[in-house]
Amino acid sequence: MTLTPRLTNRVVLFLVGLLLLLTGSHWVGVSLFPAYAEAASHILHLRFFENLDTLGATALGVGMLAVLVLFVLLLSLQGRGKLSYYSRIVQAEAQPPGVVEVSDQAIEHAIRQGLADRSDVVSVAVTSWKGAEEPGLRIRVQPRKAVAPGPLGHEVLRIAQQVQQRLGVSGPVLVHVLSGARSRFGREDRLL
Amino acid sequence: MAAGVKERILRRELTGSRSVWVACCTLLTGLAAGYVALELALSALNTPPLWRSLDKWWLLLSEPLLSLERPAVLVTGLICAVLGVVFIIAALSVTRRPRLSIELDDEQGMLIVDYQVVAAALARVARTAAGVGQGQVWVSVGADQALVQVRPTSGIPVDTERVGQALRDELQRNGLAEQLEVKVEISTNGVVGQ
Repeated sequence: MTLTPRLTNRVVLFLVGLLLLLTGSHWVGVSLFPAYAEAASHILHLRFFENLDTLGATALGVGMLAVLVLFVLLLSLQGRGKLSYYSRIVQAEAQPPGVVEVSDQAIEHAIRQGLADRSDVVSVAVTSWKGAEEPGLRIRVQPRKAVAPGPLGHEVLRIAQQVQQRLGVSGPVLVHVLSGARSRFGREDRLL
Repeated sequence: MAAGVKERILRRELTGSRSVWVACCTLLTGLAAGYVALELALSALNTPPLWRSLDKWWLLLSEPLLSLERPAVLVTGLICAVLGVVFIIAALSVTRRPRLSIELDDEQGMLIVDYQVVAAALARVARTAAGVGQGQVWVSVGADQALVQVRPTSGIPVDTERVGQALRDELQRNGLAEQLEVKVEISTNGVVGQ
């Protein structure tokens, strides 16, 4: 879960696509149809750049640089929203004053502990994301092959919510039961 | 948690974003914009152009009939137009990630499962219900249907209804019964010697 600006992405993609389509079809038109080329050359003003004065050229240059900067900005916005810690409690009044931060790893260990008696879980990974109000927990669980995902997911969710309760926080919890290379080899396969 | 937040999170999890596309498209247009700015700066400083001056470019691209570069313009135009259409389609289409969301009666909790995980669980159940060995059951899970194909052992019939019921029970147990429709197909040719 990240703060990737999905709508902006789509709008930019659409606009660039439209621009490319228009320019491309114009070029196809000019090189294939003399009549279109004739009409276009009247409209497009053949000497556009020769007639460009200093002010116009500067404006165009600044515009190009602005596009460049905007796009670098958009790139930097992709995949943002991960947090380096899950909960942070500032104790300003305490003596001495301090900050308590609980990392994702701590939650991960707690969940591993809770799942210790299950042998059908291959790996657990926890990350937190910046939510609208409170940080969210995203727990990726990889079970062994053919494990029923529903009951396992419920159990992980219950453990995570217990951990939340002990930390005194609330916030969205997302459990993702996924498959991967390591889940392919079940115990039964290796016994033979 | 405010209403709709959960739906938003789930929607983000179940559908893909366009970040890779945007990275490609910003790289492309960024290079073009940077080049134009560079040529502008060079011509403003009265230094020779890096490749071609912008007015030469403009002339070439608005009236290529006069030039020998007509095929090049045609090909460039075609590539640009196709790329434009591809970008527009990418901007408007929705891609589903291969995951299912299990409905939970929980204000803060969400549970999503990969197709493959569900398929593996269903394959185990189908194998037990049909009494066949490994490799005789093939399961494919999609957004709204689970297709189970069983190749029975020769001479030992498989009860389709029993397998279907076992699969539906398993989906019920996982909270997926309302989303997935089970379809069982028993193959007509059997497997020898299991």
